[in-house]
Amino acid sequence: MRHPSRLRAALATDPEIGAGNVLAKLVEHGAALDGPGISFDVAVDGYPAWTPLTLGVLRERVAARAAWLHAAGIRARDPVAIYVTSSADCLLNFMAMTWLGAIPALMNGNLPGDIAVEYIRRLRGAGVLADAAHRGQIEDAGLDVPILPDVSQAGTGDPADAPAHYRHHDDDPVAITHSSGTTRMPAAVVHSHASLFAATREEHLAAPRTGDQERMLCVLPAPHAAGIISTQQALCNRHELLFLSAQGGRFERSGAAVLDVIERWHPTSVYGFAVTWAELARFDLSQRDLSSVGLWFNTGDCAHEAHVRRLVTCGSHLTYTRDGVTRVPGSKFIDGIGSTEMGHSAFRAVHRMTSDRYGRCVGKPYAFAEVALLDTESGEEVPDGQVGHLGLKSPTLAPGYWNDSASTYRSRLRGYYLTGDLMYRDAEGYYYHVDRAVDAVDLGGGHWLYTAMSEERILMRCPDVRDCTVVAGRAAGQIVTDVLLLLAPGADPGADRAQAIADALGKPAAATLRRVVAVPEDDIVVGPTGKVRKFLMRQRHLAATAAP
Amino acid sequence: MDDPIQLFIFASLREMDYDVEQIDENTQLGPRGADLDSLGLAELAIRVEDEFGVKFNEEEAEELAGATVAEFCAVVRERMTAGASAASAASAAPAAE
Repeated sequence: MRHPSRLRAALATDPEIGAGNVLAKLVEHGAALDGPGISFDVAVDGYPAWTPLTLGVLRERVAARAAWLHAAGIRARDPVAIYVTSSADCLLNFMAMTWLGAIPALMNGNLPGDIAVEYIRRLRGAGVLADAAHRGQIEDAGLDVPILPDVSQAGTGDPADAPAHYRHHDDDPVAITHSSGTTRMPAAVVHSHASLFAATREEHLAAPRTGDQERMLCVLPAPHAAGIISTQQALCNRHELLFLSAQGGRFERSGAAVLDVIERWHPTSVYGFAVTWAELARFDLSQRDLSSVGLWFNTGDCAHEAHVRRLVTCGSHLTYTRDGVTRVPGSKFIDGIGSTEMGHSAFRAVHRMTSDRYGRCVGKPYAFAEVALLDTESGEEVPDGQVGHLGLKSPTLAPGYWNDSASTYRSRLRGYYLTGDLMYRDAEGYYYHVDRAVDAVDLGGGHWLYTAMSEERILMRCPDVRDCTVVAGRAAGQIVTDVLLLLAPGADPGADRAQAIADALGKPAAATLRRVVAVPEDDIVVGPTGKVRKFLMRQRHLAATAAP
Repeated sequence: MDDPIQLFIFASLREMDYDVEQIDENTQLGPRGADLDSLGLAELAIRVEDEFGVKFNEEEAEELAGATVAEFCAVVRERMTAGASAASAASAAPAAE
């Protein structure tokens, strides 16, 4: 058996490995079949929930599905939608379809049925694989692609009948995932064998091992790029991995679910989107046993300082001191900003208890990422300190939008992919995210309202606010801004926070402030991954409360 | 090879039980080479701090994984020089009243 670290080097330098063949390559390079595979929070083919599936069992369960899908007529290059809730159904069938060279189109189980139907229609695929709950939402919609038998049948294939593994080229499509759909119909994004593995090869296989046997709890959504990347990252590094379904369940209860799992499973690292850290902010973490956690990893939207500071005081990690190896209190939080199209975070910021560089600082670019902050009118880079549009060149970048060349090319400028984010860089080379371009509001006179940066400042000034959303737009011909607050448990809904919020917004934006209101949870419209759907919020909120 | 920093790094790695026969100045310290884990990198950084009077924070120690032995030596040398100039600037500055 190879030592794991030698295995890592062999994987990192294998020119044929990619997102489509991680399992096969692990076995080829001699990874122990009784070593870690994945644990799920649901039963898998007779293995009860929470059972650690070894690499060998994982490969066998994937082979069973590859055989079943092959018997169902799925072949190389067939796009097949997967519309399920459980992380096991998603990930095992993803791997089985890539075994065949097919193109799994992974759909978030939170997507409403009507959106899902239209999304599937636009895929122009070869089939749909769904669980019972989701079949009901699509089977009477008149889709012109076959709906395969229920996903619970997929594990009944005979692993021995699986055909030879498809041999991928770097450019081969291995998955279609969708954006969070915060502004529109989710965009279908195609990833290649190489692009979806690039961050694992360049970063995660090049990072030093830690002193602990790592136990990684993944609260990322399995059907999204981050879910796939985290899975291959854990497998290639031979970490133990527990993959929760649907980000821990209904968002308003997911914080409690995640804390329970941490106390039960004792992970050394927890991977999630920003919604997870916001949900954990409901709890007094000092009352929970989070001592096993040394790392929190965030991607998607960058996290809020108020949430990060609470987390890094929890947990513990091994360190080397002049007294030798010792376990010390506190954890680190790796923040970043990434998206489906970016294929991984492009930036990395590390926070510890002693950190003080916040203010939506996303750190510096990963070594594999080439970034530029661009003026989209001139195409030139903006100087330090000035806000520009983030342009990215990276081996992780998705090749484009599925069945939508117009959008693919519209999002490119001078060879860069325009992420839709507004950022500035300071003189030391640190990058700061101020807003999504579609959410920022031009106030005239060179002033802008950046909603995400405003939310960051509000959370820091109002500690009894758990999360907040700034909604700005035109109502009755003028720009108005409403600030919607989600209060922490025990906070006084009637407290006067107007001054603190006006300070947070700054003078030009504060002049547009119409009202500050504590809202119930269900007033905040979130997309399938927990991101606030500001586009919809603006439409509904500004229309419903237009000035008389 | 008579660079005292490099000699010290090799001596440290030997004491830390690494097979230095497999390591030269172009070998990366992390998984693409000598394969020091994060604790090994932290230990090496502390040994170098104590020997040469330079400082590395926890994050910098981890980032050494991507550096070769020669690159690490260059960073140490740079910090020693910067430290020496800062010290001489401080001694040259008039004492505060």
